[in-house]
Amino acid sequence: MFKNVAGIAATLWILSAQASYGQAEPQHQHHSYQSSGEDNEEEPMAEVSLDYVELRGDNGGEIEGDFSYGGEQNKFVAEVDYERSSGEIEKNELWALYSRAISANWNFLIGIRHDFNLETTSRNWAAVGITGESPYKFEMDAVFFYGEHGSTAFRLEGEYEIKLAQDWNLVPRIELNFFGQNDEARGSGSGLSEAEVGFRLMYEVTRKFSPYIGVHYEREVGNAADFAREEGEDVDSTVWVLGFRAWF
Amino acid sequence: MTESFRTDAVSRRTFVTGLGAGALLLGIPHSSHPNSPTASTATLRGNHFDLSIGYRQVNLTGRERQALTINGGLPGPILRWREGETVTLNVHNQLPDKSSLHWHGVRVPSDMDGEPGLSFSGIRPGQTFRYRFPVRQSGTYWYHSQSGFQQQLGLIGAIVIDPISPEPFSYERDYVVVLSDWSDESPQTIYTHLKKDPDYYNRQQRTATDLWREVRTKGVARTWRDRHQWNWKQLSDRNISQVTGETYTYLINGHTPDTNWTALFKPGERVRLRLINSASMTLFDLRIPGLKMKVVAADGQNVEPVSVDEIRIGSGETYDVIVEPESEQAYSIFAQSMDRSGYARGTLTSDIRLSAEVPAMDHRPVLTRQDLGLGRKTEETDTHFKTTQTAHTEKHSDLPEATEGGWFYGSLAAAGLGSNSPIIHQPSESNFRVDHRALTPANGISDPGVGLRNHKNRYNRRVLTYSDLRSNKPTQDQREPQRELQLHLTGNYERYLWSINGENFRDASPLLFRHQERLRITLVNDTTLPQPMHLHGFWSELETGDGEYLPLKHTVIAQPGSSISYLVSADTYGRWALHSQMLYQRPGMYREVRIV
Repeated sequence: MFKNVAGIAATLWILSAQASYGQAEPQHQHHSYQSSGEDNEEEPMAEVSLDYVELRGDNGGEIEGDFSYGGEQNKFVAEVDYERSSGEIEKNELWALYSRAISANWNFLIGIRHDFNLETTSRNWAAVGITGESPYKFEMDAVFFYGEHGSTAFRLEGEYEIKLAQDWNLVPRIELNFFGQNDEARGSGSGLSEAEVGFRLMYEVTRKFSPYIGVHYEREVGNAADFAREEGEDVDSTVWVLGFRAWF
Repeated sequence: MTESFRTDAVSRRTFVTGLGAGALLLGIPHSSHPNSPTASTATLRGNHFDLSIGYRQVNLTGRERQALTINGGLPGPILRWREGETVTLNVHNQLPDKSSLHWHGVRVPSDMDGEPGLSFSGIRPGQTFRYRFPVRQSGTYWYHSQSGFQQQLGLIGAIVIDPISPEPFSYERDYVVVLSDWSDESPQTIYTHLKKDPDYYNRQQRTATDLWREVRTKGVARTWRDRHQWNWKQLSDRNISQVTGETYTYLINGHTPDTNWTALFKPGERVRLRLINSASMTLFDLRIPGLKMKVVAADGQNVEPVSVDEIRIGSGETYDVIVEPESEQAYSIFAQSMDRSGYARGTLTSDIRLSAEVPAMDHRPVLTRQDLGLGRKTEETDTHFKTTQTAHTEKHSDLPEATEGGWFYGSLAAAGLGSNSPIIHQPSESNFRVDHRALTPANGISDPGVGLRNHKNRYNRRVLTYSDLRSNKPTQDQREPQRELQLHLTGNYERYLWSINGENFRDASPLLFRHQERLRITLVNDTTLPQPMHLHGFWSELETGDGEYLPLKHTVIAQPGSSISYLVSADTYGRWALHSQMLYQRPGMYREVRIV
């Protein structure tokens, strides 16, 4: 699986490199003749954003990114979150969302999340939440999930960008997962179940491509920690990360 | 060269060959050519013009790129008209897409204005559109494509209109100075970058080093307080320009700073420079170190001469200045971009071999409370809206009354004094398109603008402000304004959405003016960026305080977080545009004005 992560990362990187190379080609200037005067029609825009493509420690990694397509207020968003740790899949999620701008800095989200799981069964969640930027420029996502058999979950993610210099950013990141009930098979417990904290030092080679290094800490909490101990697993781990962020 | 371009019958092939010669003249340091503006820019005279919109390869930065040209020129030819004549312009579009030419600042019938979607449907590929109108004014103007982002690719040119009656000033030399911004990236790419990352071209952001320096000099509490407003609003006081020298090369008459456009003078001569800002996204601060500039006209219309050291020229504006170099030497015409990320440079010299030192750029500006719209103390706060009072009103009961759509009636301040109306944010401003509203905007009429406010102390330079402008002719329409329209210029920087009153052009109904009415327009800039606003079809008579001699303008900079007022005589029927001249904000910050 380690090879998979690296393989996907490499493919995505090649794609992103091609996309940015393509934009430098003069023949691509052709669209700019288009007349939009009469005309101020809103054109939908597509964006691929790879927020974290990284290796974690010796046997882990993450790919988190999304594709969005839409206009000024309404967008379709497809999101991927794949995470491995100690050789096991921790997350393997595919999201399909409708996103609507509801205020200057916030978007409302609604859609579904599908968890692929190779060891147990896959499952679906309905997702409702908000994403945006709080005062003082904290980027935040808060999403509530409602799954089959009445199970519930809540995820809170936050990120902050500290500009060290014009092209150096230090990015602290936090993710908290809550569940409405215990699920021993998945190792998640009711209440706060797992917490992740990371720091990544990113260098903007271009505005669209930033490789980074960092540290990532995660910990099972409460019942989830008990389940982990019963399985004889560690409840926390600290690993180095190496990856990149890109958009196009 | 000029002559050959005037025949419309050139085949595509000869046309392209002709362009090659043009490129040689443009791109190569012109030691072998006389350094007059005609070396690169043709001047076409008369009252019948054949203009052809095409494209050609240029190399301005070391990379081959495709530019859009008019008769092969980048910029296009200088059109020299005479006041009182009727001009005919056959504009042939050789592009594979629709195009148009708009005569910026020229008062024409609505169907000759060249505004696609309002005055006509644009010029289709391969077609020729005939513009024909009487020239009823004189001075310096310019023209540009109003289709898509074509202006960015070079579809710009100067218009010089000779007056019927003698001018109130004299000069021995006359040069056109067209300022523009060139990018190797396509306009669509620039726009996409701004949409996805509005800070894409900003290399002057706040960093941890700044913070450290600030904390050391001011202490933690003061630093926190100073930054709180900005952080709370998720705005940055370092968003000076959206598209910068990161991608732009700044040009004078199509010349880069390296190829140095040069104009000649003999000592003792008076030299008239017709300064035109035809840049897509750049406000320039222009000066000629060692020379005072006597401003004799603003936006083509004569003003009482005023001597200054420096002029901020917003996109779309023009100023005519007269300089009198007395000794045999060279001077730099130095035009820094507002954010100091680059400059355009030319030379004014008595000897073709001489060039002057290029000065260092000035300090990089930082936005202030004033730019957030906190320039004036609130005197009272209503539960429904915040109001501010100007010096012209004593009592609250005297304030004009607002009705729907931002129209004010009642006791409006006298013509020339500007607005005395309360600032009322429309309900339509409260949506996802608007990230900020100016609560107590100051009057921007005497504000030199971001980065220029302390220039006398800092550099001992006098900077032109709008309050220095006074028409040399009495105001023609002496009527008091019958009603006032308050328009809020709005935007969301992070989402890169721009609007007026929080409404996008597509969703907004046209502004209806009555034929022959005298009205006041007050622009309240709720953004933290200066907005050069261009009203087609009419003069914008700036209310500088003296109603007798209102200066006539066609493009007015609304300073960030400030308000500004001008009077309009709605004397020409038709459909017109009122929009920001900032190219990538224009699609949203745009309104149709309809005279009924």
